[in-house]
Amino acid sequence: MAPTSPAGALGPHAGAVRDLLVDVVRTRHDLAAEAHHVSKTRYGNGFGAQWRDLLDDVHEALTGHGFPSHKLTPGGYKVGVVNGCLLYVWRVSDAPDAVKHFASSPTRLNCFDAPPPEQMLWEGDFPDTEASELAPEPAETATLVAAVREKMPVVLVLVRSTPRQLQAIQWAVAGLDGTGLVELHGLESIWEPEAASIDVASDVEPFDSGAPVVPVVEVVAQEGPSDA
Amino acid sequence: MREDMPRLFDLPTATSGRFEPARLTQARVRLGMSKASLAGQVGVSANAIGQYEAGVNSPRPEVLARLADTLKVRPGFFSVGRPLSRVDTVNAHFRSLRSARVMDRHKALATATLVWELTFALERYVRLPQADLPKVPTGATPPEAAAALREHWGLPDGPVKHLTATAESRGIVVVVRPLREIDAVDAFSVAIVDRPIIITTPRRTENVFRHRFSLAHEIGHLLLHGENGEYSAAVEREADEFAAAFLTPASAMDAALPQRLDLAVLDRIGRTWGVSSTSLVRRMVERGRTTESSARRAYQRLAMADDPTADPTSAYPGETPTLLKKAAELAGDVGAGVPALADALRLNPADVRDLLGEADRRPVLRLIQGMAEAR
Repeated sequence: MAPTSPAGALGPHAGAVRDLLVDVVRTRHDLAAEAHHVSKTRYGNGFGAQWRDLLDDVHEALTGHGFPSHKLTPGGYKVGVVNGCLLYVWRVSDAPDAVKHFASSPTRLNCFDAPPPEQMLWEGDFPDTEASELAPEPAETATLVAAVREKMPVVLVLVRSTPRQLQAIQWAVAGLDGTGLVELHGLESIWEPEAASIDVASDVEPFDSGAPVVPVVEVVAQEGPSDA
Repeated sequence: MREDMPRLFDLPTATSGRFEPARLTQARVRLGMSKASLAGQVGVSANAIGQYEAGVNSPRPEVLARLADTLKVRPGFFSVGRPLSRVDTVNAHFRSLRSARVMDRHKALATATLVWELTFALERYVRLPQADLPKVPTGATPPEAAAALREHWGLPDGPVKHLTATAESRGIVVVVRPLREIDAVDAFSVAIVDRPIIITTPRRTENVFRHRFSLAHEIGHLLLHGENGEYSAAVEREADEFAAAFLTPASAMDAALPQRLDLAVLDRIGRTWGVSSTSLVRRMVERGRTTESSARRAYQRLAMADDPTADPTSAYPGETPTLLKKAAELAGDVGAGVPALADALRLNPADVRDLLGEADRRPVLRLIQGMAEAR
């Protein structure tokens, strides 16, 4: 049965992959935003081109943890595979229905036909993940082997950003409908900028709130006639 | 007014006509003039100026008039008969001492001395808040001193609200002087006869975050370094540490700072706590939240986006100095307006208004050429 949510698709790795994704995407966004700012460019092409770096960065991070890799043809993009799922990180363009038309290129279309790598049963690990969580029971292994599918589920990571701000990171299980348009299942936000900033600023009163306590000055009683 | 202090107006009038050499020095250095330059303009030798200032000779009445004219004071300014604070530069804490010449420091101190004299003159009519700074034990660290000050002033945890108004309410005189007067030394602080005075420039007040940090830095000097105005990088660093600890205590920052460098979040925190994003980045390094290299990149980005006039101090009522102006208004209400203060200080009323931070609003009178000819 096809997974209906990224957490279900990624299984025991979901939490660690989520943290890794957030870290990698934010770092790449910072670099791209900085480059955009430094270049003082009027155009967003350079900033928008970070999608390829995002793919590479996440691929490197995952393979660095020992996860398998899959090469998408004909573009030759390498993407990581976690728990038998292909993980594709993508900066969503501003175009309407951009997500529906994700599979508009042959390379992206091939995400949905990617066969699982042979070594997927011995995939990587994160240091903080409990060993017991990862070690499949013999019965479970048998089920997995039996359930080896011809195609991998695709977890699509959606990065929404402008050169000024990273606006959201979401993930979902992507599938194709009968007409070749992409459908998302279990869409979930894994990072939003406000979540980090509201708490830190809202529980204290700002330095300029309220009326200032002005210094008190009062008239001194004069002892005699003024000579001034 | 304190009993043990000299009484401004109670001095014997018989002495008021005599020449006070230190007043000549004060008026000269306030304008940043050398003895030779003054001598040239007044028409005496440089040696003569040296002798006047050393008290060896007194200027003749006609020379005194020229000195007053050149130095833009009344002739009576040079007379004895009112308290004169003889402050040495070692008693003041200058921020930019390395780049400042001795003359620059004396020039700045001459301004500080006049500010104190004005404060003293006002105190005859108006009771100002007494200086209220805690005694910090010798060897206390800047964070300890900052915590002691917060406790002494009864400031709750969280952002320090309206720092300038708070400091003035505790008897600290805060004055913004034009760049030309203290440009080379930038901001500085000094305590004259127990009255802490902080003098700063529009360069620091053009941005509220810089202004607040600068003020906290000078309060740090007053608390930690007392009358020891000896400059060293370590002393300046301590004052910076004090300012950071006072405005953004470590415990509060540990809860408030984000886990990673996010300039949008830091901007938001900065606007709550009244500090710049740059100082929060520095705090993140200190608190182990980010690395030096990441911080350097952040500084570069902040520097490129920096608009020093984005948050002018004048837009924040609690950060604009009001103490001297309020005192002068009250003194005016009881018959001691600017002219009376000017008489007491032997200054021109315009100079007093200038020291109070008021624009001279008197109408400018011009002789109409046609009317004069018609007569």
